[in-house]
Amino acid sequence: MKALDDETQLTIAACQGSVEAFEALVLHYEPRIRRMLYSLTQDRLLTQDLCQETFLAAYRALPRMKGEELHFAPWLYRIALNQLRSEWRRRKHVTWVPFSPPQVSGEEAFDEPGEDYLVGPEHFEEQVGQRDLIQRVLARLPEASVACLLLDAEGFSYREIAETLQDSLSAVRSRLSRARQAFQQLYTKLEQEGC
Amino acid sequence: MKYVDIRDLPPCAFSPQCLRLVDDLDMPPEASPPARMAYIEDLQDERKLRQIRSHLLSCPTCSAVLAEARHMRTQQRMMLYHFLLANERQVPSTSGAIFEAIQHEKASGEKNASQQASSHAQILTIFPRTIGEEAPPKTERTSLHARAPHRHNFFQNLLTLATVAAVILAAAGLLNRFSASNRPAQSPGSQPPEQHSALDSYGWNSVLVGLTVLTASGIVRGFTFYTYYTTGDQLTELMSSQQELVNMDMEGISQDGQSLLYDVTLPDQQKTYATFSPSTGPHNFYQLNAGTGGNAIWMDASHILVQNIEGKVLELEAATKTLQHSWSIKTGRLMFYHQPFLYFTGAQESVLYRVNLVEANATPQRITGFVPDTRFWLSKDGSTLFYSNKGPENIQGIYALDSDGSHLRLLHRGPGIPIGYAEDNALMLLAQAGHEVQVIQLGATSTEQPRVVFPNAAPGATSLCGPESVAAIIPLCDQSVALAPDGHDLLLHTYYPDGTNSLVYDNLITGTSRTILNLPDNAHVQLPGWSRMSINSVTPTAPASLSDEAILMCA
Repeated sequence: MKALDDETQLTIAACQGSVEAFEALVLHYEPRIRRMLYSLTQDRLLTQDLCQETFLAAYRALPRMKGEELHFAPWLYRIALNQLRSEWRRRKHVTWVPFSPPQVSGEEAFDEPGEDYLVGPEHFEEQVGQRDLIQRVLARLPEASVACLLLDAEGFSYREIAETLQDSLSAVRSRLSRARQAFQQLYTKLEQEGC
Repeated sequence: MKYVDIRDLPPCAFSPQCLRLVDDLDMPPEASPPARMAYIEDLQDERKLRQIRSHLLSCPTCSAVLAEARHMRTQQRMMLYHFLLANERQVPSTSGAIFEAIQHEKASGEKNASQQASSHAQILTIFPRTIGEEAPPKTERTSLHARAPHRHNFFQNLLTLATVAAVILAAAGLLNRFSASNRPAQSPGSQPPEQHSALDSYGWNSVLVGLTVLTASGIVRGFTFYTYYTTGDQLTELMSSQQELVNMDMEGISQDGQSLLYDVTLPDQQKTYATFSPSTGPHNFYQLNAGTGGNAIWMDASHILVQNIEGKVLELEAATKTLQHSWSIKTGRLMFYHQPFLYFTGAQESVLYRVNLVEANATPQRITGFVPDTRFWLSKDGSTLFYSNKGPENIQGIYALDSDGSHLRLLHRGPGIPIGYAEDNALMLLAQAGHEVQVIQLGATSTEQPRVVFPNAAPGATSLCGPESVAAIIPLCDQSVALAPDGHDLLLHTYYPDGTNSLVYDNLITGTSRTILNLPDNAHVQLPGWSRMSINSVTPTAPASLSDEAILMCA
């Protein structure tokens, strides 16, 4: 995963109690942790709660860590996933909330004088339609496989994924390979079914 | 590249391993083996990897399998990464709440440490330690080492503590003073941040001021950022640059109140977008040619939308300086982002549009009619838009409409300019009354009577727009105004008949007004809004004076 340029220094400083350093790490990682958690829960409030808890837990634990040896990103993601697992254990089940269909805006007339207005032919990737499909595919995969796929998409190396999931490199290789194939098969199947 | 169908090739026993090791095979051999193997199967994988590397040279089946696996991997990574990014936008940032909780923990830890140290000191005073006696244990930040309480309890405790503190302060007659710093996020010129909890609103107690000094040739001789703390009546220089510029614009404060977004155009016509916070200093994150670079607004505490006036809107992550998304949308000026909608004006900045950036086909929707020479405001919850102009029936007044463009209504008849919101989210206005400038709080509907909150917000001033003034009319410009998010404090840039101009601070609760800074004639002031920046790392400057550097610039 692409780390902050000065992540090691920030981590060392944060371990030594620098709030400013920790805040810099929060600024960089909060959106990443948030999107990971939301991808796994599809629950905004739960995501916000878990996100805050993750960083608070990290803040409380940092003084006990050796900054020079700490790989901050895998460690932080591990905390986040542990928080999520604890929550799931509390709830005893996971609720996958299907996406609502994208809002359709009506044709608008842009004929005001002087309001030169164009929407170009290029569009941002067809995210919303795909997002629903991807969410349905992920909902059918084991949690560890989903975590593997998402960490891989975030740019984590095998070693970082192994560190995050506290597993062997070999297990990560196997799980990721199986997850990719399962994802592909499910995606193709659901797409053909028009789900 | 020639396409080979795997089905036409003979099967190979190594193929499953090729699939499994595709990422390792794509790394240089020297990069793949980890320095320390924790598991025996990792060592076995290393052996397999060496085997497959040599096997691949002579196996078309495995080569084809790998090519397909790489293609699938690339597609999936791209899809899942976009999926993650789209999900990021579905949930408001929690950075502000995290910062608050950390500050609270830090304060609690220091308080605990202080109390423990104090109790140790008392014990030592009463029972002086004898030589050889074990020293008392070193005081630790006990709260940081304590087991994490359940989050709901933790935040409930915080809220309870805040409530108790508020009651105590109210009893001591201090609530009004304290509440000036207990305000939600606000950044005039950019979108008002969303309110998540009472915790998010704590600490917005400083207002930022940008000062540039123009030469006769129109070149800007540097700029200085100041912050004024209402609680300490303290004006502090945050940053100063003496580089020659064409222009510097302060675009707005981030939703977490920690960073300023600004841009600088250099004489070589390069426009640089940057953020500033006292802890990290200036941070340049993007550059465009000045001919194409437009304004910029915050999306959340880390993402920024930049306008490319050739028909693009760019989403950038400031910290990593990376372009996250690009939309083909021609805009006049970016106004607000309220998830998931970007609000912007057309080319003449007279019609407001919005577009849902999460939609696959981001199609802009027209929100207002043709309303020239106005500034739009979006309510804190993103539901209502306001502007001052003449409506369809040619009546001058303040108009409100739902944020989807429906339900246009006249909220207040008569002149005045919106300046922000009161604590109860009612719209606040500036309006002239005789020789005075009044601060007015509107009711929620046109039938509710507006209330004069402050009868004379700019004593003696004849303009809030510039040195020129028209007899009997006090020109009012909303660029010269920064209202605190709870509507309790106001900063104005005022001009006087003798040609002088000043910054005036009004406490709308106590009804007091004071000049905090007298400005030179050639100074250009920008008020991007209120923040909760910490100033631990910068040196305070005496009130009612400019720093030495700024004085040099003005000379």
